[in-house]
Amino acid sequence: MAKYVIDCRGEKCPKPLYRVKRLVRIIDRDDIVEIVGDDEKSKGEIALAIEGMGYEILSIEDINSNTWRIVFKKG
Amino acid sequence: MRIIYMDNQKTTKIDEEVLKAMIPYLKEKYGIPMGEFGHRFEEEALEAIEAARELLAKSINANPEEIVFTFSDIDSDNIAIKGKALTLKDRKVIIASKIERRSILDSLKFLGDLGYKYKLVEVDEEGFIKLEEIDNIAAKGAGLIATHVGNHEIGTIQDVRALGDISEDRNVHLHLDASHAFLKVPIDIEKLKVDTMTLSSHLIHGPKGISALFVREGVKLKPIITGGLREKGLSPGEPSVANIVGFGKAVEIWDWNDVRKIRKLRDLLIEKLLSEIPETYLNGPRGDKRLPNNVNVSFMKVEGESILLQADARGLIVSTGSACYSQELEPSYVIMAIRGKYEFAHGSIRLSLSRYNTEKDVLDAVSILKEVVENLRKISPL
Repeated sequence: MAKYVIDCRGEKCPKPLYRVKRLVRIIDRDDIVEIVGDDEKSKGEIALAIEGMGYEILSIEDINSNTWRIVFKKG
Repeated sequence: MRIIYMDNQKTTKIDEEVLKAMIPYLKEKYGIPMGEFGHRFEEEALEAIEAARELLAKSINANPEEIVFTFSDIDSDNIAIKGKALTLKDRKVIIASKIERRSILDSLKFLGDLGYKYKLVEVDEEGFIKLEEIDNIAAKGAGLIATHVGNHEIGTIQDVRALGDISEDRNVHLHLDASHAFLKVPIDIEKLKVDTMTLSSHLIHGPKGISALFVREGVKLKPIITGGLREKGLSPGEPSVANIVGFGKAVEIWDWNDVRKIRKLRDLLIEKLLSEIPETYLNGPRGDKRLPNNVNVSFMKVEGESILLQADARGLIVSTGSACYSQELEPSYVIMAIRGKYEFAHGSIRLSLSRYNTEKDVLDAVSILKEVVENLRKISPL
């Protein structure tokens, strides 16, 4: 099980979601992905896409007033 | 995850029979023709190319000598439009519509920089070109009309017979891009007064990297690519014999019963999308005036690109002309031309079918889109 981090701070929707989807295609089952970003729209859309792909969201949290973190497992 | 591919107007899956026909020309029969007489490799290649040319010609009731193989649909449009424009001594006016493919629009911009004038006529709310506008401009003196048979985005099938009549009455060259209509709607060159026409391979389960241009006997085009005499000097690069053979095979095995099946699926898809997802609108016409494999809808209050990505995450492959918050792209100019409102262009999605789609695909696609649109409306209300 490996852990990957995508730092997409400063990037606007849809780029963060593209990056998540590209990474998911190449990593292994049970690998963990952590995404850190500051685009509010991407936060919602990434969470929705992870659910759509059938993967488990481990946490969604606001690190500060404009930065968030999503952690999920490729199930 | 089950993948439902509904982006068949972008490209199609190659047919197994097509692939099988191509392989010998990639492995053992790898020659290319050099002229009427040559060694056995050249002879084999020449025979294969001419056999494919005959199949294409037959499919539109043309003569084999009127078929030119090119390397892409974009090449075909460029060769025809620029090639015709460069022969014009006067009447250097070109007419097209506002909803042409980029291969036509960008060719016109290129010619505009060279001093040609071009006029883009309006379309109505279903994407039908305003023929009286074309006729009015043609009557004042134009040298070329460049437009399409079936629209790439909203599926509108133009009145090409009327366009042919205008072309004949006003003595104006007519170029039609039939990439999306070829083998979707019947085309009979004997009855259609068209001078040049683009025919696609990769949209009919043939290979990519190959296309064709119908050039009516007697029509003169100035070559825009130079370097030899192959393909009437219009597309003189080393031919991909395997691709040409594959194109011919795709045409040969085409079954119009599949088109009838696809049309039924299209109508089911339209009906389900409009009835099951609130605030959904069909772009383009219904029935026989729409390409049998095209569905284009606008979902209000969502972004097309978001839908595309969310649908992809669930295994449904569609396309959008809209990428409103992407820096690279602008809202669909086709939807803007027919609707005139950004909200329709923002949430537009094209679903395009092929013979490999099933009724289950259609029902599952609607289910996925319903979920996606509902969720997107909750998290990112516009």
